Amino acid sequence: MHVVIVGNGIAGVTAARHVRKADAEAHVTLVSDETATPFARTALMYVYMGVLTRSHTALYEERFWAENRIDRVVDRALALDPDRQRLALRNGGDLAYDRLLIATGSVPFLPDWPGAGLDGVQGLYHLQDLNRMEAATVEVERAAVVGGGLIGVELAEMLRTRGVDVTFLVREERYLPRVFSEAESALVADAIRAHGVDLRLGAEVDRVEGQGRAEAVVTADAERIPAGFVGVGTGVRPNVGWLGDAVEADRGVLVDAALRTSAANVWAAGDCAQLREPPVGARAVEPIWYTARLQGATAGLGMAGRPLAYAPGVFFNSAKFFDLEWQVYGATSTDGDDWEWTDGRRGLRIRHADGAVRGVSALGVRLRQAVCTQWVEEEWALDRALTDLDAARFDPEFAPALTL
Amino acid sequence: MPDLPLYNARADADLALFSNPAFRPTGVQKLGLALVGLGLAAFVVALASPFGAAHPVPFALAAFGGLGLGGVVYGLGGLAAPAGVRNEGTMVSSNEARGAVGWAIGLALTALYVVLYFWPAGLAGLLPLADPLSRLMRDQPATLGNGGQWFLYTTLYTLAVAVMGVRALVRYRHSRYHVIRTLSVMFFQTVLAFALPFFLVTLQQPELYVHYTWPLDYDLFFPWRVAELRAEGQLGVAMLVWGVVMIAVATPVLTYFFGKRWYCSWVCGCGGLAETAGDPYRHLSDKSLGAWKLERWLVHGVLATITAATLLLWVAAVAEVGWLDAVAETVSWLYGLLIGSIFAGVVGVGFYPLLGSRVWCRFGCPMAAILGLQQRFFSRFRITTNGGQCISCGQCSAYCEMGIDVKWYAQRGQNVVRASCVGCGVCATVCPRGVLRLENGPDVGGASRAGRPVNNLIEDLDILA
Repeated sequence: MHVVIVGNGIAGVTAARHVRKADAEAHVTLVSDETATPFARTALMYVYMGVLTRSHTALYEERFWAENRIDRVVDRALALDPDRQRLALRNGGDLAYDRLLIATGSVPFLPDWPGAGLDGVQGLYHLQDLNRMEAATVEVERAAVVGGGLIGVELAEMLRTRGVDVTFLVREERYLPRVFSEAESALVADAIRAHGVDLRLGAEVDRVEGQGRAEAVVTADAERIPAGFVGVGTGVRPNVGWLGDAVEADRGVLVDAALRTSAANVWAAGDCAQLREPPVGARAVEPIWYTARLQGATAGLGMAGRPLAYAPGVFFNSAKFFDLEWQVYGATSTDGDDWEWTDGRRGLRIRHADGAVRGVSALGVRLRQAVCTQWVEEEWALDRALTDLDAARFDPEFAPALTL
Repeated sequence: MPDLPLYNARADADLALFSNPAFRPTGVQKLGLALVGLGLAAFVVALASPFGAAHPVPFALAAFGGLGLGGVVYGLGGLAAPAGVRNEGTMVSSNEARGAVGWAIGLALTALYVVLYFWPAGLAGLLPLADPLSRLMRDQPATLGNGGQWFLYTTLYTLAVAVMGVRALVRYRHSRYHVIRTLSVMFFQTVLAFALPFFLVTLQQPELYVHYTWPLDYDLFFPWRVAELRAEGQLGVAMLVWGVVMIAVATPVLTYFFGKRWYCSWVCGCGGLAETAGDPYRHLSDKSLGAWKLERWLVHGVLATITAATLLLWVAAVAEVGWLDAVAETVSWLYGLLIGSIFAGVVGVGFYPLLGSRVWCRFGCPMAAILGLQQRFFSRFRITTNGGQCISCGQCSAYCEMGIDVKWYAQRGQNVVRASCVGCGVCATVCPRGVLRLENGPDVGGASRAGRPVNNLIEDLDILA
């Protein structure tokens, strides 16, 4: 059996591993034109910052691929023909498959501002984006970052480490209002400003100006902000354009509970997949590292003949806003009330409804995933969870106590 | 990887000298560097000319003051940056990424050690600089005849721990764990390894290193040393007894409860230097499987050798067999030369900027070997992984000074239990997602719940294995 996986991000690589685990005989081919060495996409920023080199970000050591007999092909998939079970490659001709996984991830979404096509206006997702950014920021002294998501703050941090003055334009009146409470938004904004970033909330971009390359961003209230580089963090879109109508797609490739697409023997996983019926607590398209990993595993086992329903369990995610770490478990934005604590630098929020903990959000406090998951899964009462806080803490020894 | 981003492609050029794009020294830091430059110049002039000997006090002030004060000022300059993990530019720094500055420092340190061990007369020009302090601290001049070069060396060593300790305190001020640990190694070096022993010399007592025992103090139990200490009277005998208690009782008990870190990154002088002066080079350790294999052979080989040499010497001494005595003497002499001097000193410290700060601790230290075996098999200490949270970024492995591929464990959700881990805690600190935690509590409560599935799917899919 030949299993072909298109895309070597965390979803594709995890799928390849799980095919191999479940089926010692299968021939597994991993196709990507991004790089031969699968790497941690989340670590791209650290390469730019000089914190890591490229080799540090490799998901596995080189010998892993030979030991697990996973073939890697550096080529671009151009089209899929599910009837003939073939994948057309730019350089390698047609590749026949028995099972195929679409794991082509996302592409950065750029709003259609006038000037969005200028050099030096870009998002950050692929290694190629990083290389472009490297070239585009060489002599840049002032830059703008647009969009207050997790990529936006990464872009701002990256630029700051090169001594670039950054104006950070965020449309909302406070930072990530759909995710954070007001107190949390304020903590994050402080953390960003502590690094000399000019964070502008409630700022909308009208256009980018420049001759050939970006020179300034003009806001909706006509302020002109000089910027030799414009980092765009206004979200990502599933990378499915190359598929044409080979499989049914909406925003992403539509998949059933076992991550099968409308075409026989074709699965999809990760950022590019859209669940027809998302399980409770999950979104149809969820472009985050952890879910891509879980979906990759599910699809991998499915392709190896062990179909399973994708059931990600209690949601979790994490990020870092400059020096401020964030962890989130369960649902922290759905209906309910907040129990909230902060000491001005750290924050802890427990969302509860109907007498039960629904979600936990922690800024500057490290929590133990097993414990927070248990609170949510077993619907612990808020008071009980609070008495269990010591067990939930994952902070290093001697960390200051949470004086509730 | 052929398609390197420009930052890394440019790195070769940037590593030439002082052109790390992420390093923008503040005015305070520049002042500190200038003072350090003054101190170094004073050393060089004293070494190469008779001026130092002619004017010992001003030269000593310029040399030690320049290095000490300049280093402290430079370290304090770090307060200008926000508290947090500040590793930007490390991989493209001329000093920290084996560039021109790194090589220059490495060669200079190596040369210093070679001269110190094998041609102390070459340091004659520097001894007058240590003379005023030597008279103050041990009531005798600093000459080659009374080990003045070792006094000078210990002074510089202690200065390095203290000054770079300040830098570490500033750098890790966001983490109480690192602050307390750094204060601990600074205390043990300045008080127990420097002030107290030399004070005892002033009182005509043997030099006493309370925190330093066999097998690191490799000749402590050699017959001649035992005889010498017994002849010293009560304090000498107490030192022997204390040495036995340290290695036979304190070490296993403390390692059971806290892991080998209680010694290697809280107490030990070698560890103290590594955690302070060596901190900028911690990421240079070799992470390959080959290095791990070599490490196990070497470090346990050294332990076996010193144990055998000690036993052999006693057999030879008790049985009074002439030829055996000659063999044992040769073995212990060779050990002192190859391990005590070349490995621990020349390679261990001289190669900091090339091989990282823990080469000796990892590949050579017999004390670390004993502690490591205890840690691996009889200790509660572990580094716990937080469920399925690892994003495989690789910072834990990159900044591990012992060359442990921490990520290998973290992305599989496994606890890290490794003989070599000195528990410095930097992997947990640099992790941007809070995935790692140093733990030594009994496995109850939260800790045992970490063993339950963190997520049904992760468990069902065996995703972490």
